[in-house]
Amino acid sequence: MATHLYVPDLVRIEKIEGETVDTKTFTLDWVEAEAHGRFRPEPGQFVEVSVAGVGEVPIGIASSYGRDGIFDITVRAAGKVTRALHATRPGDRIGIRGPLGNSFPYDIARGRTPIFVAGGIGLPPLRSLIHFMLARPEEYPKITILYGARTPADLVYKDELKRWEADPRIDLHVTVDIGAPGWTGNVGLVTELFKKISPDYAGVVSYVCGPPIMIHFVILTLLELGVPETMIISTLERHMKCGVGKCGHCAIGHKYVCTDGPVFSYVQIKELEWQCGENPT
Amino acid sequence: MAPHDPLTLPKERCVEFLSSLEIPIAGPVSTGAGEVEYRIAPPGEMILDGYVNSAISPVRFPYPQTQILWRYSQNGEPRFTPEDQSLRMAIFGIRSCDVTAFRYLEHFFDRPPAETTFLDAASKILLVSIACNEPGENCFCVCCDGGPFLEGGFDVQLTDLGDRFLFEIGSDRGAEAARRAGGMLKAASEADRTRRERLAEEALDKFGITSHMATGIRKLTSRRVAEELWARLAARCIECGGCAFVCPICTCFDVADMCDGESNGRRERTRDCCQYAGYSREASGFNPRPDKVSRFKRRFYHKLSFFYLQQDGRHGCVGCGRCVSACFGGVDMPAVVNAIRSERIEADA
Repeated sequence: MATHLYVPDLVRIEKIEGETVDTKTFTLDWVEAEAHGRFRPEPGQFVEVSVAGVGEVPIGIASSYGRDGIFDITVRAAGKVTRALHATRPGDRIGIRGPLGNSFPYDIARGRTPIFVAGGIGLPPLRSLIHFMLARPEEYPKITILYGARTPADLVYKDELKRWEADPRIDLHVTVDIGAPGWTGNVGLVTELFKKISPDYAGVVSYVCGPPIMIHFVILTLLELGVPETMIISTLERHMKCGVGKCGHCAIGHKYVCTDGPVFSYVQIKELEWQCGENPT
Repeated sequence: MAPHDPLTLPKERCVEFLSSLEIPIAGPVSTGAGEVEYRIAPPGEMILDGYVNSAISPVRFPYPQTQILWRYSQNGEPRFTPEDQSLRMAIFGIRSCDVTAFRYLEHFFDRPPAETTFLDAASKILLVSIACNEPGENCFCVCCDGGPFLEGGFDVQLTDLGDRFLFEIGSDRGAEAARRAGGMLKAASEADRTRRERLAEEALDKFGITSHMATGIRKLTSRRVAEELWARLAARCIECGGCAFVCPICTCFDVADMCDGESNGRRERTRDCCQYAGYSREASGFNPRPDKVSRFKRRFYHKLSFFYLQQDGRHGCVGCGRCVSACFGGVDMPAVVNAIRSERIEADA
């Protein structure tokens, strides 16, 4: 972390890739070596992205991170800061604070069957862990990815999905809520995709990311299938502002999604719900 | 800090004492309407006794309603420059509840990752409190371990003994202030000390409001507060945000960028209120607390849950009574705690 909690470091936008009609992937590189040196994210962590004069938004890191310092964020234009981000061009400089938050526990996946369950724009944060596991075939020889989006046009990383489809280490299943001309794949909720796979669920570890309602029903499904409660790992979504546990907006009970999360196990989610009486998903 | 024996300061030398500190001093100054506000002013303007605490807490000095975090300029390469608004100063005449709040805020902002914006500002402020011989009509610090007299947390605690103050030193910084005062201070007599103990004792009997915080904490944490009660209480909330803005230990803030022309601007934080519908609403439209009842519960969960108490070192109320003054609907802290406490009695009746 920088010495000042709220002052961002500068990154240069190296590349902008259109994913869908409202989603783009930005490849970023550090402007200053010192900031680059400090930035050591783990899969699942997020950054606060600043467009000076407009504001700041929390965005999950969407790629693995190596010594080159380059990383991706995938952003849907939903509010004024994300719309301003979409208006930037390669070469522009924006502000980054981070890495923030906790990360996906990956050690527990050794010797187990990792299943990623992604809803819509929930795939990008999981992609950081997918890249991490794909880079370590000895430890994580096979992974399963279940991915649901609203329509075929809303699927992100379309080229990468094709590569994943062809990769013998990956069992990929994709579905959309509503089909479209030319779509020959699955139609239905992401939970339907569990019908396509038949792992030994007692040996599964699942990583879930998506909108709250999707998380809610995926967790119910995983429990029903017999995935151990400690092996259901999910992000929780709340409106974060400061990203460092001070502003209060992302609190669930006495936990802050930005610093205690965004990654929680189902055991923690259940405990939190018992403590505060609010539904965390 | 080495223990210090209490001293006395003649009231007529109080202005001289404050001047000897040679730093800006905020203290209780008349608003002209029978009330005080804490303002940086010449020590001669400060009211030394008989005032009821201000509508706005002096914790505003380290944690203002709105504060610049940093400025940017985008002439060529963008630059972000942190804004240091901290000031070496003293707060004179701060009341016990606000000293307690001040220390709570230090604890809160010190949780990792520590926030230097607040901590730097707070660390430069000398707190010279005046214990409360006469609580105000809305005060209930006696129920909240927030006063009326303090055993610690102050740099200097003064007790009004009529023509002089008993002068207690609570920190190294307080000792430094005493050193500057030099000959103005005399050793307190046995009678002075006894008088202080008697005033502290007598003050305990003068409170008009009782708030059974422990019962509130127990029932809320064990989730024994009926939804109907929350609904009934929340129905009286007009979502004005007054309770949060006057609360000396509410910490929530919103962040916004303000433009100063084409290429310059600033990022500011403004204290926010969890009773607002927009507080937890996301850009997607998703809102985990879309209704007033869930937001109202949230406010009191933060103030009274044992899990928060464990994390923050104390519960979220110092008993200053400002929410009692501010709340139009009469659903302030003691009213809510007492409703929670008497719920079963009502149900049985």
